[in-house]
Amino acid sequence: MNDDIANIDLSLDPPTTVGLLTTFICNQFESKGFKDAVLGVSGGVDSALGVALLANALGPDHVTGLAMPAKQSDPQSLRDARLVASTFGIKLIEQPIGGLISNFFGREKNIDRVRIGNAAARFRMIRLFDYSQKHRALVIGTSNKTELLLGYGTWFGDLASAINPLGDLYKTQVWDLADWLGVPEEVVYKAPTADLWKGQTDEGELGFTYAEVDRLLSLLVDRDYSIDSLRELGFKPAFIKRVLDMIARSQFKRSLPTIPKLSMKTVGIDFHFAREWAGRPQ
Amino acid sequence: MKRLRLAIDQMAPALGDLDANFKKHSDAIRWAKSEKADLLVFPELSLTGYLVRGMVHHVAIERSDRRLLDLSKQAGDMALVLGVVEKAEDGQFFNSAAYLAGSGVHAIQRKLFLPNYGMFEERRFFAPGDRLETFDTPWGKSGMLICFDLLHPAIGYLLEQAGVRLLISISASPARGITADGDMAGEMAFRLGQETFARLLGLMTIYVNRVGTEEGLTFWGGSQVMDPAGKVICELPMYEEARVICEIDMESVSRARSLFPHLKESRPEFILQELQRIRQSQISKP
Repeated sequence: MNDDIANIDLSLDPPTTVGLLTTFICNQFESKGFKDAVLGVSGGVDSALGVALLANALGPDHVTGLAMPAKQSDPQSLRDARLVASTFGIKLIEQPIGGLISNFFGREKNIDRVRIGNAAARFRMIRLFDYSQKHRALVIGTSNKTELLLGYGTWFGDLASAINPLGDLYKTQVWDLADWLGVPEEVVYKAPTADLWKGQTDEGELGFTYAEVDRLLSLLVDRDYSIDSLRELGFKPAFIKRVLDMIARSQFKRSLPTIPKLSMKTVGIDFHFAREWAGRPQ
Repeated sequence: MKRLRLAIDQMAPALGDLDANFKKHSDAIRWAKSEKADLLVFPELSLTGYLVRGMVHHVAIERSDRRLLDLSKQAGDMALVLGVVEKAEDGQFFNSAAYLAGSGVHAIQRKLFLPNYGMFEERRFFAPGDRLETFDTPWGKSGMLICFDLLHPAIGYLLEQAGVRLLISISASPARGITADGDMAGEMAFRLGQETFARLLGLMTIYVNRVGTEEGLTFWGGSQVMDPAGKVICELPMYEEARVICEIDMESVSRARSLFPHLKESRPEFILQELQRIRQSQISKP
């Protein structure tokens, strides 16, 4: 990475950011009439930051983590999930999903990794929303902005949640805040992984580092830099193209299903109401 | 009256729930009256919440609405400024600030500049006001601005020419643009706007911003009163509901203007002439 690129500063003041996120979480729980939260705890830094923010905002007694390892998950991930839960004093329920996945695919052979990964993410989603219904707990998402923009997540799987406090934080910002909030170092600084197969790392699979792509995304998305200016700064054309393609190809994951317009007011097109809509006065 | 005993209710309206919000206003009126306040100010769209969108015609009320009259009666001698979706006679909807004194609505200011970019979509649901209203109060000639209007310097010039001494701005500003130093772009813009209007125009400025969360927008509060010398007379907390009583000395407006008599140099004919000339040259460009 050249110096110009390395000097792009994405850091956020932690007290201000955590203060705002805490207010957001408290206000959302109050307006939705919920006291308890449930989230998947993988042992990674995103869900660890989610746990830390929720424990701060709601109190650890109101936060439950579900650890849902698949057969191929690294055993270290579960140990890290336990460490995160004990660090912040939340309850952790361990519910392996290996059996669900193998039952689902049955005797089918040669299932590609993406299908297995998607199935794992969607079985975890089912567990979380079932817990939500049973215990009146709001499902909290922990997909960061880098993943959301690149589409590095499973639609209606790990991308499904009621609120997502991490959704406007790039991965590198997640690291900073997690560290500041006391997430154990071994969790913050281990190589990020979707944990879908042995030795998988996000950065290995993506072919670039989070530090590089977060800088590019912030200029591209948040500051509307032109492609020419990005090249002048030293971003390689092939890297820019790859990232632009990933953003465009995953737009559907950031949207609701497309509905064809027939009537005068159509859900998703011109039925404009905020989530907090209390309904029509009667 | 040289002294103004001001009450601020930095509240979080319930989105789309007029009944709940009228009740919140009544509660605040009882509190402010018990504090013997002269004026109680609520934030922008305090009767409806901010993201009214498709609810706009369900929550809009006319300026003669009985419930506004009731609030005014509850307030008695105390004046009120609140935020309302106003339904005009021609059926248009406005994001308005209402000044209630004595018996109902005494003055109404329709939001002049409706932000309509990025996360903002006000032009879709509201019509812009086309008149800067100024009105007499016991504390001198006053004006009201709504949120984004405070970020338009030209409005300051109009307020100055209209002889305004007290400026009441109501706001629903969401937090955004946090920096490494802990600054926040939304807050910085309004602080700059308020200080510019206060110091350069010699105005007593009241800025009341709401709190609470609607969808992903968290409103930052941080209401404050700044005198014409740029001194913050009172400030409310960030992000939390809060009420405060603030004693304002309106004499400080006269003092500031005698120390810094720039109003004598405001040259309205020159401004008008130049504005017309510049506008004409823009229009006549090929």
